[in-house]
Amino acid sequence: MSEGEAINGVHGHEAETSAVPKDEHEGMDVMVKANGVSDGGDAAVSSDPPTEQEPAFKHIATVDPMDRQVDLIHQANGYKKEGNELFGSGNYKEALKKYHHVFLYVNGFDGKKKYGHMLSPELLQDNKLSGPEITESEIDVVKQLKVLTYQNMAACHFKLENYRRCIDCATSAIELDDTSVKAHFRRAQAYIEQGRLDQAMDDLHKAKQIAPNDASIVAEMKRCKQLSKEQEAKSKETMKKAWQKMERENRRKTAKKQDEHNLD
Amino acid sequence: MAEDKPKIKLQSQQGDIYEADQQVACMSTLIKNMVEDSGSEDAIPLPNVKTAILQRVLQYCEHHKENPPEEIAKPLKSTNLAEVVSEWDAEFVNVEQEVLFELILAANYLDIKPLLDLTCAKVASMIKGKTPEEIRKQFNIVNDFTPEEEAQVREENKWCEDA
Repeated sequence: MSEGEAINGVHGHEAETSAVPKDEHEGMDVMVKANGVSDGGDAAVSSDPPTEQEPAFKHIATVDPMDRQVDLIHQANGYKKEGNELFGSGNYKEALKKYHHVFLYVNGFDGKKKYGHMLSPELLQDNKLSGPEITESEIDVVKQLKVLTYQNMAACHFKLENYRRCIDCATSAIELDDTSVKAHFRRAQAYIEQGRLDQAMDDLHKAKQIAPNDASIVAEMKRCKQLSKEQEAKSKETMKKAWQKMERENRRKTAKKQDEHNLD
Repeated sequence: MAEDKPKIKLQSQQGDIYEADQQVACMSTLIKNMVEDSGSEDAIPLPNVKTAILQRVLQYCEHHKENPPEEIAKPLKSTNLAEVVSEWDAEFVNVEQEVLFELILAANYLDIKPLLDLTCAKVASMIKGKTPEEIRKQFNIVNDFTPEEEAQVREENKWCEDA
């Protein structure tokens, strides 16, 4: 392994986005001392619990630390903006990559609020634990950022005709904010592409409830109804054929049995 | 095969970069979705995970890459976690409370459900069967109830203690 090469390779891309280096191992030292775990890089891995085989991961390089207090939200917003620009120029896959970075920065943002009650408030107050201190208004900002990012990701996946992931992302947006018209609308479109017209119609109804005057929703509903009719007609035809086939087979079986009976 | 797939590079808060098999790294739903959507060439920054915790998380994922842990039965049938999960898993979370909490945050952040279940089960096992006083001591919780409030809470939850 050439460590220098690995550093350069990674560094080149990450340098612009990673934060100013500052008090590298401050938080870590506190924790390491408190736990008596040695800070020996890979050595710490093999200490406890024991691994029975060569680990499938290894330390390959060290670059500038990411400053956990330097506004994670600010960085996440930057990634979203970059994603939007790439989306605008039709580069959906690269846009997705930027959008994913948003979550790398703001996910688990409310972890302390979510799980903090499980463990000692003393630990929390001492600020020994990773993750920035957060306020209620920041939680709202992050939620909004996540909703918009998921919506945009759903749009990317739709353009890339990856309807399963489009539905995933739209669903994630809806789970955070069920009044998101765009997320309901996009998911409906993806459902239509997958032929799941009932589910599409549900989403369109919800979108229309939230935005009653949106013409594109009404138009999509009309299209969905039309497709529904066609699908129904088609499935009727298929059922009819299936019945006819089954009847033919039954007749043949009966005839065969009759033949066997006659042989006796 | 996992070996044919490119390795995933993960960058901790302190800037330490680890290379892991795709199968190992993708036990994290966060990473899995990202790799699936947009490839895996660049190091993935994990600003919310410290090096020491990332090592432990990778160790967990490595151990479980070919034998996913069984769902943990709830309610816990014992306060001894070794009777609830595998010996390796029980040993894995037999750590200082601070590390345990960091692992919970990391599992939440990276979206590794079995690890989140395991670490939360550990906390549950530390609470199960204890009196409020013992729990306060375990987790350094200051009792902020007035005697009247405490009496009221006890009264409201009497049915539960009797059971």
